Amino acid sequence: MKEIVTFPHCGYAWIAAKALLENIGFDVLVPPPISKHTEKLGAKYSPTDACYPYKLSLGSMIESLEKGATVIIMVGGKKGLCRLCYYSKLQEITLKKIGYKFRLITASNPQDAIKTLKKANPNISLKKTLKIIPFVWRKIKAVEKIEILARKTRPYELRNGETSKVMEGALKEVDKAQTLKEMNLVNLKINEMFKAVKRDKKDPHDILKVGILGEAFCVLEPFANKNIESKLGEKGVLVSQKVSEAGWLLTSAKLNFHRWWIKHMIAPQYLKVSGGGEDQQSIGKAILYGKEGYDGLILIQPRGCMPENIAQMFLPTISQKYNIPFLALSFDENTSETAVDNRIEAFVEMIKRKKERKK
Amino acid sequence: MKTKKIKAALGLDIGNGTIKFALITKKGKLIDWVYIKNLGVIETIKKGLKKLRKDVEITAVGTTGAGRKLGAAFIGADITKTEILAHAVGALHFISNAQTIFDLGQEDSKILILRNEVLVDFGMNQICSGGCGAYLENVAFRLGIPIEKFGDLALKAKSTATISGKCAVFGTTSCVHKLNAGVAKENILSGVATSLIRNYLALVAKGKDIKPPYIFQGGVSLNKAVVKALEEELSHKVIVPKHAPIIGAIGAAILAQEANPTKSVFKGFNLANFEYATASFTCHKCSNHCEVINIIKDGKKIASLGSRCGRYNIDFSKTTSQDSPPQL
Repeated sequence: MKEIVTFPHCGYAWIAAKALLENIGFDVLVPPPISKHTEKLGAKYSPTDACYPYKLSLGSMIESLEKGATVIIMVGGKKGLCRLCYYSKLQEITLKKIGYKFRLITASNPQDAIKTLKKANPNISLKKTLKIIPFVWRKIKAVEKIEILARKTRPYELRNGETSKVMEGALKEVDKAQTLKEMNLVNLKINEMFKAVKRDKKDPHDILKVGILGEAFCVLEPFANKNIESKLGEKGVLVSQKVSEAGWLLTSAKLNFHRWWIKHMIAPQYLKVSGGGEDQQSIGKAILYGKEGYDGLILIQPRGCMPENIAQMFLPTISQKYNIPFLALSFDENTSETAVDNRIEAFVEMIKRKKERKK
Repeated sequence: MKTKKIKAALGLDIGNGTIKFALITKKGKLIDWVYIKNLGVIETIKKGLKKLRKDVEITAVGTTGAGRKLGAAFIGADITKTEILAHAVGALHFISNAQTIFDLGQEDSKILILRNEVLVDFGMNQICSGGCGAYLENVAFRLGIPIEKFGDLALKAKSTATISGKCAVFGTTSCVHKLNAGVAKENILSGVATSLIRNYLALVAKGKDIKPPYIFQGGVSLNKAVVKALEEELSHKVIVPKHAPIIGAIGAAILAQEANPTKSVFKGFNLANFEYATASFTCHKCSNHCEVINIIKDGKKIASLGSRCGRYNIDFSKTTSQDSPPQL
């Protein structure tokens, strides 16, 4: 029986993951985009206090299994992550109890995943895998560029929602590309697509700048954070967000200097030892955004996230020191979108007025 | 001789329970206000417009509160802002050196932190009514006391009963236990006032930098016993502004005035003399599937809200609307 490989969703990581696995020679099943249905499924089979990323990734796995996937690749087993490193084990046990038949591979990085896959499929040539790395990396960087361009464009868009539509189209183009040559053309096309968005004449100095901090999954997955980046952008806010798939891969290869810098040179003034997860990173980013004169910070966390609870404890001090207001939001399957919208709207109004008064 | 109309900005605070209107002159003087129960946004706005003085020229309109968007579309508002900002601006208008505003409403409660007349932090609670007016109403109902008499009666207490329970339901249960045990009603009510303040501070003021001057507003601020309980908890005097219940509407009017539109999009007091209907539909022109609400007068669309791209909105600077709704 032919194996069908899948992985739970996390933002736009699926594009590169699909490209890698397909080019190695697997049949890949990309799960349906995370939706209320995914959330419901995940919450149904999870302990109540399991965090939101656990529930959403479990729901995503179930949706893939329902569509015929036979191998699931899940991130985990890695030192430095939060308790996410154990999730794959519990998810595997849960899914098998429900009755699904599949194999689960826990991967702390792509090399790990490929090694494990190779053990079961000796036909995979490592040589072939190495050859496609530049192509996959090009896709990863293209996705990162699309996210950055979207953040830069939204505050200026004349018609709300246009940037998001362009982003959707651009991501589709990246996914469609099958060769490095095609990717080069796509990269040029992406720039044109975003340039075409009708813009309002605004003074860049008047644009509010907000830094996003928090737990990686909830920051990357738009469903988890109720599309906060789009909402902020459509209110005229320039969002800065530094977590990306590219960044994660660099971290795996011990090449993420920005992350190292924050961990060893910035965060220790408040938190010398990490409790796991993104605690030091959130604290460090808050300090850096404060120093850069950003207008506000938003901390995004799953409800009950211990590392982000720790980071949040330092925010009032950092906020006061750099005179930068912050808004802490926590998300789970019971979060009311209206309540989140209300807070975001009030926060943006508040920092806008503060900026105007400063002038 | 024709009397010159006073130029004023109109603010509306469209809450879930009540709708408040305020008229503010250019010099910032409050010249009229209305406070009525919300029995449907459109009907209540019509009612409020009929009650307001008409010898004014409306230079700007602002809406705030939960129903601000619908209200704005209906009445023709130049700006809409969240209650957070409107309440802060309203309070600062009367007490410019305020640093902390405690805002306790019927079903939600907020805290606003201000420094140098700028709002720098806020907290909101919309999930637990143990720190809101609904708790007081619950207790008043169970103990058979009119809510207006709650404060005065509680102030007569010789001692404050300890009411346990962090929520409106269990707090009320605790009151009934005390009543059955023979504790005096005044003492129980005094205990509820303290319990409410403690719940509120624990829910909303956690981690906030609370500094005087302290302002207390929102419907609950009308209860003198709760004011006293707050002062005791803070060991400091608390100011209840004169127009506490309508501060949001005052703030909305001030914000509208600040926006200083060249010509206000206000549809006029005459709006109140007609009948309206609302119609909603889901637009399928793109993947957003927005739920659009149209306000209709005599079969013609006069306002629209809900579309993310704004394609159904009526641009008042043009004479015709961009799109008409599908046949319903």
